[in-house]
Amino acid sequence: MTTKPQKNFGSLKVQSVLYGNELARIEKTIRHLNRAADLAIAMGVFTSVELVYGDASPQRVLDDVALEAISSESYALKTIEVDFFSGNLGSAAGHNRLLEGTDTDYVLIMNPDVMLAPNALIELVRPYTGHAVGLVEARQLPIEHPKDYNTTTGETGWATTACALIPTHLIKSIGGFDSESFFLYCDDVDLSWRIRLENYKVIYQPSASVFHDKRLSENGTWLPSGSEQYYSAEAALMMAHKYSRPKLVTELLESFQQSETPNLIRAAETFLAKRDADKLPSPIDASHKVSRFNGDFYTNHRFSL
Amino acid sequence: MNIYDSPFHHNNVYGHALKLLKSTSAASEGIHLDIGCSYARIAEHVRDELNRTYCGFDINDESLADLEKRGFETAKIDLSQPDQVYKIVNDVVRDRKIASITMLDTLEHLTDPVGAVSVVRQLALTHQCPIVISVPNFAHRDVGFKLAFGKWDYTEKGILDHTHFRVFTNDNFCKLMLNSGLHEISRNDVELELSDQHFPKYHPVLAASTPLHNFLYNLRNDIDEHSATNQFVRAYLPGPIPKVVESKTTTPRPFLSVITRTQGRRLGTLRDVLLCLSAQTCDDFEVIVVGHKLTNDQRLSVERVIEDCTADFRSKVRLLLVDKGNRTEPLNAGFSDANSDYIAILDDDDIVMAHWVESFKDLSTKYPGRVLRSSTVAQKWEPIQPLHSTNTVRAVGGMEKRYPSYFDYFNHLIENATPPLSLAFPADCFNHAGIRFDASLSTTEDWDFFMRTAAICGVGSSAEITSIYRQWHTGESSFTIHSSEEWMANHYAIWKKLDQYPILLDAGSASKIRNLVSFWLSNNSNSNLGQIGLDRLPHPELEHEAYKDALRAIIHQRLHSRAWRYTYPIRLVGLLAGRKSPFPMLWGMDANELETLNNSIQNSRSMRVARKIKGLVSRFKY
Repeated sequence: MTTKPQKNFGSLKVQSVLYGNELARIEKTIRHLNRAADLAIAMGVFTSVELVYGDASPQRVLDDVALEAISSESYALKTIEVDFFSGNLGSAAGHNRLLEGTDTDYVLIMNPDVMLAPNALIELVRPYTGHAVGLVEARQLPIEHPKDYNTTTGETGWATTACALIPTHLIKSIGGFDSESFFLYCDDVDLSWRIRLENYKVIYQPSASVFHDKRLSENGTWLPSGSEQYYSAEAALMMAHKYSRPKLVTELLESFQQSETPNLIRAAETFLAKRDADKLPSPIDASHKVSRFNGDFYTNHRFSL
Repeated sequence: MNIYDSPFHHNNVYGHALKLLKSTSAASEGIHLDIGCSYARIAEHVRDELNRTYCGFDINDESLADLEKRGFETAKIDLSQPDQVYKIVNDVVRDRKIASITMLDTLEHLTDPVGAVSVVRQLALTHQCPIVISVPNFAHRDVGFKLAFGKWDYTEKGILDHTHFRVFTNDNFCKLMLNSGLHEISRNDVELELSDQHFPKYHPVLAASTPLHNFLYNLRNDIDEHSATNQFVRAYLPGPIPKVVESKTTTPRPFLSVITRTQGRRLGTLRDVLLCLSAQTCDDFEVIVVGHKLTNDQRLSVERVIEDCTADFRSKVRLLLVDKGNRTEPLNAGFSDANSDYIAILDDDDIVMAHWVESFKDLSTKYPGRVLRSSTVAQKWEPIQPLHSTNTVRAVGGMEKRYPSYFDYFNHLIENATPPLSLAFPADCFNHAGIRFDASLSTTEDWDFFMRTAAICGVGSSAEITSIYRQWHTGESSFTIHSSEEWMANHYAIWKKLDQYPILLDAGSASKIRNLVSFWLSNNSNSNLGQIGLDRLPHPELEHEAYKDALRAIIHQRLHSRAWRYTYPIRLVGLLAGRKSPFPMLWGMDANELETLNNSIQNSRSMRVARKIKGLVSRFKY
C-alpha cells in the first residue's frame, strides 16, 4: 500500500506543451492529474498543485469554454492556465518558456498525453528524501522504457521527460532545456546529463506509474515515424558533438550520408549546415564523466524494443 | 374414453404431484381442491393415501359427472371468470379446512393464467396450505429441435395440444409464479427423454445417433436442466407479491464488461490495470473487480485502490467478492454479474494499450456475435523493491510475438495460443448458451472456455496488438503455483472434452482438413499411393491413454509430495481407528476411477490442511 512520505515538499507546477492534441484526451489527462494532486495534497506531500499548458498548435486546442469547464471540475488543481505560443517552438523551447516566472518548489515536466496513476505524485516525490536527487522519472505504461537502472537506488543514466519531477531551483540553475540544440528529441538526455554534471542523481521510480499512449506494430516492434526518425538522427549528431565525441560525429555523419534513408541524409545536411554557420553548442563533459554512448542508446538497455 | 382421461401412474404428472403433496402436507387434515381437475385419476389416491376429502372443479360437464359417479364432490367453474370461481369454491368449501390444492396441466389452456393463479393463491393464503401446479415444458428438446427445422406439430393432447393458449418454459413459468406471489418450496418435474413430440423418429435432428442431434443435444444440455423435462411439477406456498422492478434494459448496456480477478496480493499491478483502463480511448465499458478469497485487510486494500481512481472512472468499477472455488469461480461470478454485450478477462497483472476496448468495439461491428480476438505480445517482468519505492515491478525482456496474429481453430486444438486478455466473449454465449468455466479444471480454464465458445460463435480476429501479456520471470504466477503434471492433466482433460461431442467448423475448414490429411499421408512412410490409408491417422484412443497416463502421473506426484508426507499423522489417526488404506492400483484403473481418486486426494483432509499451512507460510513470506 501507499505509505506516507516523511516530508512536505511544498508547491508543484505541472507543465506540458500541446501541439494539436485531441481535446477529449487532454481533459482525461487533467482528470488523472487532478486525482493524483488530490491524493498528494491529502497526504501532505504537496501544499498545492497548479497546471500550465503551452500551446504550440496553429489554433488553440483548449478554448476558454473548455478551459472553464475542466477548471471547474478540477477541484484539486489550484489553477489551470494556457499560454498560446502562436508558433511551434518545439518541446524544449516550449518548456523553457513555461518555466519563466515559475515560483513553485517543484516542476513536473510532462507530455500532454500522459495520464498519472492516482499515487504517481506521491511515489515520484519519495526519492527526494534522499541526498542530492536531481530528476525523478516515472515508469511508463503500457510500454516501459528499456533503459537500465539500479534496482536498489533507482539511479539511472538519464530520464525521459515524458513525466519527470525536478526542483525548480535546479532546473533554473542549469538554464532549463537546451532549446538551441534540440527541437524534439534528446533534450531530456541532455538535461539529465547536465544535472548529473552538477553532481545530482537521476532516479527512475518504477512505483510511480503513468500511462503514455504508445503502440506497437503488428509484428510487436516499435516503429518510429518519419519525423521521429529525422529528429532523433539530428539529435544523435548533436549529442555526440555536445558531449565531446568527435569520432562518433564523423561515424554518424558517414553512416547517415551513405544511407538510402532521406530522413537520415537530411539530418546530416542540417547538422553540417549548423556547423558551417557556427551554430553548434560548445562541447562539454570532455572527460566523459556522465555521457555514455552505447550503440544507438545513451545508457545500457535491459532489452530492445 | 376421453382423450384427457389419463390414468394414474407414479411416473406421470399425477404420481409426481401426489409425491409433492405427501412431502409438503402429509400431516395436514382437511379437504383437497383440484382446480381444472378433468377426469382426475389422482382423486382416489388423494382420498386413500392422504386421507383427504377430494373436491374437483372443472368446466367440462362430462368429466365432472364421471367424478361424481366415482363418489367425489364436484363443481363447475370457468377459470376465465376468477371472481366467480372464488365464490363457487368457497361455497363448496364452506367452513371446512383446505389442506392442499392442485392445478395440474390447466394454465396452458387459459388465455389469462394470472387470474386463475390469483384465485388459488388467495384460497391457499386463507387456509395456509400448499399448492401443486403443473404445466407442460414447451422448451423440451424435441419441440425446439423440430422448430429449428420448421416443424410445429399440433397434437390432440400432449406438449403441443391444439387447445393450448399459453406456452411455458422454465423461465417464464417461474416468473409467472413468483410475480403472482407463489413461492416455490419443492419440485418434482416429469422427465421424458423421448416426449410425445419425438416424431418422425428418424428425422436427423431427433434420431439419437446422428451428429446433428448429438451436437444440438450437447448445446441444449448446457443451457439448463430442462431439455428433457416434459412437465414442470412444482409445490408452492402463498407469500408476498414482489414489487415490479424496472427492467435493466431502460439503462443502456455498456459494450464491454472487463472482469479482473484479484487475490489482493498484487496491488501495484492492479493499480496498473486500472490505470490502463482509465486511459482507454473508448469509454464504453464497465469493470468488475472480482476479489477472490480476500482477507478483510486485502479487501480494504483493493477497495482503496479502486477508490483512488478518478471519479468518472470509479463510477464504472465495482468490486464483487467471491469466497469459494478455484480460479474458475471468480470468472463465472464475474460473467454472471456482467451487464454488457461483450465480456473480457483482464487479470490483475495484465497490461492493455489505449485502444484495447476501441479495437474490440470495431471488431464487434465487423464480426457481430463472434468471439473477438486482437493480438498480443508477451513480456517478461519481475517484482522489485527499490530503496525509495513501494513494492513494484519492472520489465526484464522485450516484446515477444509468441502468439499468432489470426485465430486458427485447428492450431488451438493442439494447445492454447491465445492469452485471455486478447479476447472478448459475446455475453449471450454465457447468459443464453449456458457455457461456463469448467470448475474441474485447475488451470487452462480459459482455453476450454474459449474453445467451446469459439466452436459455436466463431472468432473474428485482428492482427492489431492491443495488449501485453506479463510473464513473471521471478515471483508468483499460475505457472509456479501449479505443477507441470497438473497443467498436463488439465491439457489432456480438455482434449478429452473436445472429443466427446461433434464440433462445428467454420466455412473453409474442409480444405484445411484435406490439406492436413494429405500432408499426413504424404509424410507417412507406410502409406501406399492408390490406397486412401486413413486408418493410419492417429486413433483417438491414443489420446485417451495419454490422458490416463497424465492422471496417473499427477496422482503419483501427489502421493509422494511433501504435503502428503507431512500430513501422515492425520491419516494415521484414521488408520488406527480402523479405516482401510488400500494401495491404489493406478495401472488397473480406467479414466473415471483415476479422476475419482485424484479428486478424493485433492479434497482429502490431509490436502486441505496442507493447503492451509502453505497459505499461512506464503503470507509470511510475502
